[in-house]
Amino acid sequence: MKLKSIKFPLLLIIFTISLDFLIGLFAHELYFSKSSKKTNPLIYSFTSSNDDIVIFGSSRAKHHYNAKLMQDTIGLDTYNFGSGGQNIYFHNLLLKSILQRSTPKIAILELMSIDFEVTPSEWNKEKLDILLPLSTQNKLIDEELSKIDDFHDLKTKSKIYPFNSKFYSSIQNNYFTSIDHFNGFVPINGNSWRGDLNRIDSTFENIKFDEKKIEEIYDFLELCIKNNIDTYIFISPTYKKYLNKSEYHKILRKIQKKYKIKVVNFLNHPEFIEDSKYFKDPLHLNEQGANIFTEMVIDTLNKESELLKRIN
Amino acid sequence: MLFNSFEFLLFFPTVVLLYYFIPVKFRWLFLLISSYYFYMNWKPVYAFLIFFSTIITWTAGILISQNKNKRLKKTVLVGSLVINLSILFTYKYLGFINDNLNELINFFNLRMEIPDFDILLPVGISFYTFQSVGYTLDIYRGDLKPEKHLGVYALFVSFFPQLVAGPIERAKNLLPQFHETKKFKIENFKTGMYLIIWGYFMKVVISDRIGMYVDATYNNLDLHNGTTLLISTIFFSFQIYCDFAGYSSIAIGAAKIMGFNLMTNFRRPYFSVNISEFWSRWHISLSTWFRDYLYIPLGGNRVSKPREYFNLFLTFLISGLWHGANWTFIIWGGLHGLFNSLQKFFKIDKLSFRKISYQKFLFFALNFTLVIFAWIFFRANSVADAFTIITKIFSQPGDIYIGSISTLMYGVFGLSILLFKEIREEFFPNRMKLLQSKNDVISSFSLSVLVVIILSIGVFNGGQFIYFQF
Repeated sequence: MKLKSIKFPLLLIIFTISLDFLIGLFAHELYFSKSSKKTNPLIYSFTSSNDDIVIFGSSRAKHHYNAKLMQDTIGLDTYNFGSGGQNIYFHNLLLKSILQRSTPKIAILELMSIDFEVTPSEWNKEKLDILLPLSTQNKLIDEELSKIDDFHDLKTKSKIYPFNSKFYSSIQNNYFTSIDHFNGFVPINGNSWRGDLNRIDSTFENIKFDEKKIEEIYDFLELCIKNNIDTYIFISPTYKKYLNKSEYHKILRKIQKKYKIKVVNFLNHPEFIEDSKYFKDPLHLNEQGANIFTEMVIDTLNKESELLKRIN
Repeated sequence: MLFNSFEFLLFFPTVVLLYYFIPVKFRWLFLLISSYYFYMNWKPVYAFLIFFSTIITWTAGILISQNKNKRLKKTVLVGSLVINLSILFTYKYLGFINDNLNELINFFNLRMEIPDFDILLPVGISFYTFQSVGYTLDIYRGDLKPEKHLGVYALFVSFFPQLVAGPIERAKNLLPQFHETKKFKIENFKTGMYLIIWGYFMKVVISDRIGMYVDATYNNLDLHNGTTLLISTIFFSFQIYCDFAGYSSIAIGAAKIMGFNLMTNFRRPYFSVNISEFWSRWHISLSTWFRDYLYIPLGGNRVSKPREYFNLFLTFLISGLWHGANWTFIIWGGLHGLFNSLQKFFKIDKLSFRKISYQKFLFFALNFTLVIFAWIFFRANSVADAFTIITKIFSQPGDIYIGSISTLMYGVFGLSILLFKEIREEFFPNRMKLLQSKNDVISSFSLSVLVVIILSIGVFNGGQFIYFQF
């Protein structure tokens, strides 16, 4: 009677733990396979990157800075760590992770309003959950995720949980994707979009600043200075002209003054402004625009960087 | 506390364990405290509303049963109904009426200051209000004896598995169960675990996943063509089903493990061949509530045909309003009333079919089309949006929007499992009972596979259940 009573729950527990272990193991192997490491820039970024010039930012960094072109022109290993939808929390964690392995010579941080302002909670630190698979290998990420989620340690007792919803992309990275990036830079083609352009302008009105995010930017810059990294903040071009009276510029000026860091603002650059042939959409340059912009970045670095002047 | 939160996964087993260890005479108190704790995780102050509603309906029940004077009984009943429905009205409909009054005043270019009402809707208010109102009505009709124990009655109103989104229980079914001594039974545990795991599967694997596609399209109508919006509407019909039936399944399963039997709330509604049958399979606890406490008192079908159709239409219209203070819900309810009346007029509800036949399939397809047509109004952000969607569906065919391929693939995978299970249960109920097999090895292994699928492709940040807003 007693054995019969516990047979079902016991079997349920044994089967669940066994299947979780086996499929979790399979998911781990699939995610960290050799070909996946090549096609998934996230794995390279957090586990083995070792570059001289590093570029941080969201999708605007990912699609705007041709790292291969910079590497070929400047002659230093360059990698674009831009990651779609990510913000300063991600960049800061990535920088800390890179510093555990090596110290870059030059760092570029691409910023835009979303890096300063109050956004829905799922756009803040919660965005770091894309790093869940890497938390199984990187203690720094594991600790950071524990701060966001009180139950992180308990949840990751499951071997599958860190790879939740990653099966399709892992299979794709292993079997169906060729390398589509150039040192992390992902060019985008086309120059047509269908959306409300006026909506973009309004994103810069009535900004509510997020003090935590601004603190995080300060942390990032202080870490760069502490490690003698030649650091630049870039704001790449947008299609529409943004409001210049924005408080956002005041903060940038404050940063420039406080950390003596060069802030290079291409936001309303005449070459790009309202010239749709350079843009895939109002916030993202296409490949043609990205290459022209990258040339400008290289020029700026050559003019401003004492390090490059010494090398050259 | 959300069922799909990690907090609930810790809360529930703790409650179950303690429940069976606590002396029987204190169990009601423990469940009552647990239920209020569960509810107070949202907005603690709103627990006072449940408490107030409990006191009013409990007192009304006692007064109605003790008084022999019919007029006095009626006065107490009306008083109780007015107080309870006023609370519901204030929190749920006052803002809506206010907005509409403002629009009306603006339309006639009148100048009048109407104060703005922007009150946060207490979670589950429609559910527990209907449950306690049903209790009072049952006592008034002499169908039920009042519960003397205030604590047990308070537990009936606030019992955590069904507090915020039903099933809307009948006092006759649930109240006596709180007086029974519940012993842990492995059969209850098996059934409960099956219902809970299946409910989670419906919610996080199907509903929240396909909901991503639906949100992307319904919230950006200008970017999508008719074909995409049609696919999206079909997806929504499964999103809302899996969201609500998933919640009910978890609720019924959780109660079952503690030895309580809650009523079935969904029985594969999309296999209905007419609207009347649909409502005997969809949100059964609500449709029977409206049948017993509104449709039948209005005269039901024991009146002239035109009056019967009117009764039906009115019941569905009010049912639509129950779902939300918005014209979209009212139109949705009205459409169901209209379809139901038309099907009664053409005697479609009287047709009988062989279990599997072409004719049945034809009527099933016709009924499904009507149901998803009505869902457009239910999901659309406004009535204007609903008409835009309908116009586009009929006039703007085009390529299907894919968006995230993984979202579609995971969603379709989950849907395939749902369809397989529902077809099996509907047409071959005795074959391939994997999840509910009598063989412990087969059932436990099948449920483990389901858990693994949930862990692998479930959406864990999908937010709250849609029906909480009602």
